[in-house]
Amino acid sequence: MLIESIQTYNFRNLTPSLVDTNHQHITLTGDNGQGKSNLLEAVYIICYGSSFRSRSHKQLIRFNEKEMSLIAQIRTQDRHHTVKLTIQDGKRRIYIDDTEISDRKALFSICTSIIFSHEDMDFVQGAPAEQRRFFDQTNSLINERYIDDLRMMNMIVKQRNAVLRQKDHSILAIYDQKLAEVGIQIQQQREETVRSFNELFPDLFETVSADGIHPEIKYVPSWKQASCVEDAIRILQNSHERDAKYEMTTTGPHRDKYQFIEHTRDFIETASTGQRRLAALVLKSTQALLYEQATGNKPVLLLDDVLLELDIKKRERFLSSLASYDQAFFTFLPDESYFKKDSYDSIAYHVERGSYSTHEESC
Amino acid sequence: MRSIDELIRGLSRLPGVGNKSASRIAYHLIQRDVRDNHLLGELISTIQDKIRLCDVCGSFTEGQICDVCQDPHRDHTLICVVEQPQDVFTIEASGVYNGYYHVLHGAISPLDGIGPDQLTIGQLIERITTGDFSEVILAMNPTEEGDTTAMYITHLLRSSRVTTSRLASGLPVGGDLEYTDKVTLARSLRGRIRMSDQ
Ligand SMILES: [Zn+2]
Repeated sequence: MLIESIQTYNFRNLTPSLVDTNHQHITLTGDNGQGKSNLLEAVYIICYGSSFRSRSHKQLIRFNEKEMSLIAQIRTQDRHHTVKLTIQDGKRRIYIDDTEISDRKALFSICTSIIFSHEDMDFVQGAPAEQRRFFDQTNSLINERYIDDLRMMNMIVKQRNAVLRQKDHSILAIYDQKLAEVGIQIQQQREETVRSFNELFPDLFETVSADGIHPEIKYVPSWKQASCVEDAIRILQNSHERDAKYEMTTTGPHRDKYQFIEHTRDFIETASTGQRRLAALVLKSTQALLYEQATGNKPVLLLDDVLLELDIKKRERFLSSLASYDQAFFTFLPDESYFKKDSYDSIAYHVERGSYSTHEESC
Repeated sequence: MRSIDELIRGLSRLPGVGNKSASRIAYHLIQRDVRDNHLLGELISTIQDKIRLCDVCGSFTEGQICDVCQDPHRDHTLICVVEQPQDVFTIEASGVYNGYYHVLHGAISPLDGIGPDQLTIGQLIERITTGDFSEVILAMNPTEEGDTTAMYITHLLRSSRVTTSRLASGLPVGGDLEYTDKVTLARSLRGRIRMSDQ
C-alpha cells in the first residue's frame, strides 16, 4: 500500500498544502520544530484516526484556528481510496470515499502504517500499560476481532468496578462470567502473539546489534493459572474480598505484564540506553513483519528521527532487516548523511516553518 | 433573530435532528399555516398527559392496559422482554411475533447508576412465576448493557420452568433495536438462541 498524496489544512504548524508522496521513499529534512515529523503524524492519523502523540483533538489544529482537515489518496493492491479526516467544533469526522464512518476501526483495513519514534522506548521500559498498548496494537493489526474484545473487556472492567464501589454485589457474578469469557480470549491472543514475536524478535535483535545478545519477550498474564473460562471465574471469585476492599478489579488481562528476558535475567534492567533504543526499533520492525505475515499487506513505514540513534553499521543492518515495504517516510536533521546511493524511487523535501520544498539535488 | 435561534436550538436537541435539519424545520414552521403550528403545539404539549405506561407490561398506552396485554388471542406461552417501549412497536411492526411483552425501561449499567432495582425486573419475575409463560425471549439491544441484563435475568430464572432465549446475532453489536430493519429483526427473532433449557 502507498499514500499517493496528502493534503493538510490547518494541521499543526503545516502550511496548508498538497504534498506529493507518490514515491517509495519520502525523506523530510529540517531542523527540530520546523514540522518534519508532522507529516508522519498526518499519515499515521489517516491510518488510525488518532495520533500517537496526543490524545486531544485540539492540539492537532493550527494555533488560533477552529478546524482542520487531512485528505489522503491511498493506493492498495487492487483499489484506490480517499480518506478524509476533519476536526470541527471539537468533533472528529472520518470519511472513506466520501462516506462517513462511525467507528475509526473501519480505517484499519484501508491502510496500515508502522511508526518508529523516540516514544517507542516506553514500550520497552515504560509502565505495564504502555507495554500492553504496544502488544494490543499488534494484536489489533493481525486479528480484526481483537479490538472489539478489548473494548468489551475495558467496558466490563469499568462496570464491574462501579459495582464494587456501589457495594451492591448481586450482579458481581454476572460480570465475573463476562470478564472471564472475554478475558480468556484476550489472554490466548496475547500468548499467541508473544510466541510469534519470539520467533522473530530475538534473532532480529541479535542480527542488528551484533553483540551476541538474544533477548526474548515473556508474557506475564495476571491470570497465571487460567487456561479456560472456568479457571478465570474461580480466580475472580477468590478475589472478591480484595476487590471489594480496593473497590476495583484487581485481577484480569487489564493488569497483564510483559518482560524482556535474556538468559532468565531481566534484560531491560541491565541493558544500555543504546540497547533499549535498539530493542524498541526491533519491536516495531517485528510488528511490521507480523502484520505482513498475517494479512499479506505491506505497511507504510514511518521512521521519525530514529536512524540518528544508530551508528552507520547498525543503521545498515537495521534497514536491511526491515520488512519489505511499498513506501517509507524518513525524517532527518539537515546535515545528516542518510542514504549513500539512493536506488529507490524517492522524493526529498526540505521542511522549514511548516512549508515543504523539494530539493532533488540533495538526494 | 433570537426567537428563531431559540427554536432552532430547541429542535436540534431532538434525537436525529442536526443543526441543518433544525433550521430547515424552523424556517418551514415560520412560513406555513399558523393553524398547523397550533395543532402541532397542542399535540406536543398534551402528549405526556394522554400517554401512560401499561400497568401490566410497561409499554405505552392511552388506557390503563395496552392493546397487546388486552388481546386474548395472543400466544400465552411467550413473553418478549425489551429495554424501551418503542422496541415493542418495532417488533410489532415486524409482524413475526404474537406473544406478550415486558418493558424494562433501560438496561443494567452500574456506571450510570442503573442496577436491577432501577428496572422492572422484579415485576417481570412476578409475571413469569404467576403466568403461563413457557418461553422468555430476551430482546435487549446487542450492547454490553443489554447482554448483562439478559444474563442477569437468565440467572434469576435458572430454577424456574421457563426457557430463556436471546435474539440471534445478525443484529450489529452496539446497535439499537429501534434502528434495526424489519428483515434483520424478523430473522433474529426466528433464529433466537436458547440461553437456558429447563
Ligand atoms: Zn401492556
